[in-house]
Amino acid sequence: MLLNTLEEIGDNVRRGRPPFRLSMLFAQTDRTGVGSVPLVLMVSFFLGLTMALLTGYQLEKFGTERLVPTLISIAFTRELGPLLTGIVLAARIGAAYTAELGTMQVSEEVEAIEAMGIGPLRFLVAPRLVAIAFLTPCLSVLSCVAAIIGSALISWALLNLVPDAYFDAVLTSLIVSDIVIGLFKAMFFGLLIGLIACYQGLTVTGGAEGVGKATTDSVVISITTVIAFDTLFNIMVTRITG
Amino acid sequence: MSETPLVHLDNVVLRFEEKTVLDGVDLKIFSGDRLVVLGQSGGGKSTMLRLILGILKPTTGSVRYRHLEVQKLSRSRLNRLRSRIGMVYQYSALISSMTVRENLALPMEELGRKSREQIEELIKENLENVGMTGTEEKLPSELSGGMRKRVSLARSLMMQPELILFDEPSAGLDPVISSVIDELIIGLTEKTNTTSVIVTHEMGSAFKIATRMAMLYQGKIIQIGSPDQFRTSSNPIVHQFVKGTTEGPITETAPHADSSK
Repeated sequence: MLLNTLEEIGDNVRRGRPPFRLSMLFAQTDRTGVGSVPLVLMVSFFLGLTMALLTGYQLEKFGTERLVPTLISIAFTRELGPLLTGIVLAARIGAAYTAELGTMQVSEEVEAIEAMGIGPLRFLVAPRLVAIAFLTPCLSVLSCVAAIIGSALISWALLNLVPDAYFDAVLTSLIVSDIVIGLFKAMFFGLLIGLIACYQGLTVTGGAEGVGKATTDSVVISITTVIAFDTLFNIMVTRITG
Repeated sequence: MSETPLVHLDNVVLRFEEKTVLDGVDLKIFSGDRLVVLGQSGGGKSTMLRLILGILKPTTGSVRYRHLEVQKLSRSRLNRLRSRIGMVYQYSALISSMTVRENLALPMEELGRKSREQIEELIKENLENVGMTGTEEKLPSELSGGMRKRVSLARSLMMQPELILFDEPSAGLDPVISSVIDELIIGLTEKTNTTSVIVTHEMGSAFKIATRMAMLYQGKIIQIGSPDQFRTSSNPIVHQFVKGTTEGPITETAPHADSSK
C-alpha cells in the first residue's frame, strides 16, 4: 500500500500537481496532533507520576532515590514516551482512520473516488500517513515532558527531591542519542499505525459489522505490532551499541 | 451510428474463485448510444460497469475503450481514462464528509486545470441542469435519495465525460422521482451528446431511456437490439423478463451472484 501510495503521489507530481490536498493534511494534522494532546499529556503525566512513586519507594530503601529523575527521563525519552504515544494513537487515531475509511469503502465512496480517476491512496491515505508519521514524534516529546513533570511533582511531595535538583538531574542524564532514538522510533510507530489502520479500512467487507471488526483488528494489530517492533528495535540497538 | 465502438467487451469471462460471473460477454457500445443492460439482480450487470472502469480485470477476454485495452493500462493512464468516464452509483456514493459544492468540485480540483471561478461556474451550471440549485452548502445526509442521485449525476457531468455509466439509477426511488431521473438521463445525455450505459432491471425506466438494449442472463448477453425488438422478442427468457411473469425459464434461484460488490 505504501508503494502504491507513493506511485500515485509520484504520478500527480509528474503532472505538475501537489502530492495531495493540503487542506486534507491540515485537517488530519489537527485531528491527529492537536486532538490527541490532552489524552497523551494526561496518560503520560499519571504514568510518570506512578513510576516515580513506585521506583522512588524502592530506591529510598537503599538511599538512592536521587536516581529517580535519571530513570524516568531515560525511560521516557527512549522507550515509554514513543511507546505510550503509539498505543494512545493506535487506539484513538488508528481506530478512527479504519472506521472512517471502512465506512467510505462499504458505501462505495472509495470506489467513486477511484472511478473519477483520483487515486484514492493519494487522496485518502497519504495525508493521514504524513500527519500521523510527523505528529507521533511531536506527541512523544509532549509525553516525555508530561511524565517528567508528573514524576517531579511526586518526587517533590513524597521523596523530598526539590524541582530544581530534579530538573538538573534530568538535564544531566539525558543524552542526544536517547532523544534521537526515541523520536525515530515514534515516527516509525506512527507510520506503522497509519499503514495498518488505512489498510484495514480500505479492505473492509461486510457492511457495518465488517467496519466494526476491522476497527477492532486495526487497534489490536497496531498495538501488537508497535510493541513487537519496539522489542525488535531495542534488541538491534542494544546489539549495535553494545 | 459509427462502426468503431467506443467500448468493446470482447469475450469477457470473469470468475471469482469458483464462481463465474460473466461467461463470455461480447458487447459493443457505440458513441451516442443509450444502452440499457437488463438482467436479474446479482446477475453481473454492475460488474460489467466496473470492468469498463478498470476497477475489475477480466479473467479472460478484453475490455477496450476506443483503441485502449483497459486491463493493460498503467495506473496513471487508467486514471486519465477514468476522468473521461462518469459513473452514477446505485446509492449515489457522494463523499459524506463533503458538501454538495465540494463533491462537485472534487474531480475538477483534483484532475482539471480550471480556475476557481470556472469551477464555480460549472458547479452552478450542472446543479441547475439537474434542478438542484441552492443545495451547494448541504451535506449528502441532508438530501433525499432522489436529490442525492441528481447531485451524483451532476458530479459525473463535471468533467464533461464522453461516457456515463449508471448503476441502477432509479433503484429505491418512488415512481415520480424515478421518472424525473429517467428524463434527466435522456435530457442531459442528449444535451451533452454523451454516450451512456444504464444498468437496471426496472422495465418502465429501461424502455423509456434506451436507444438500445442488451439482456444479460447467466453471465452471457442473450439478446441485444432496439427497445421494439425487446418488446416483441420471441426469446422466452427475454419475454418473461420484459413481461415480469413468474412462469418461464427464469426461476427464483439466484443467478451468477454479483460478488464484486
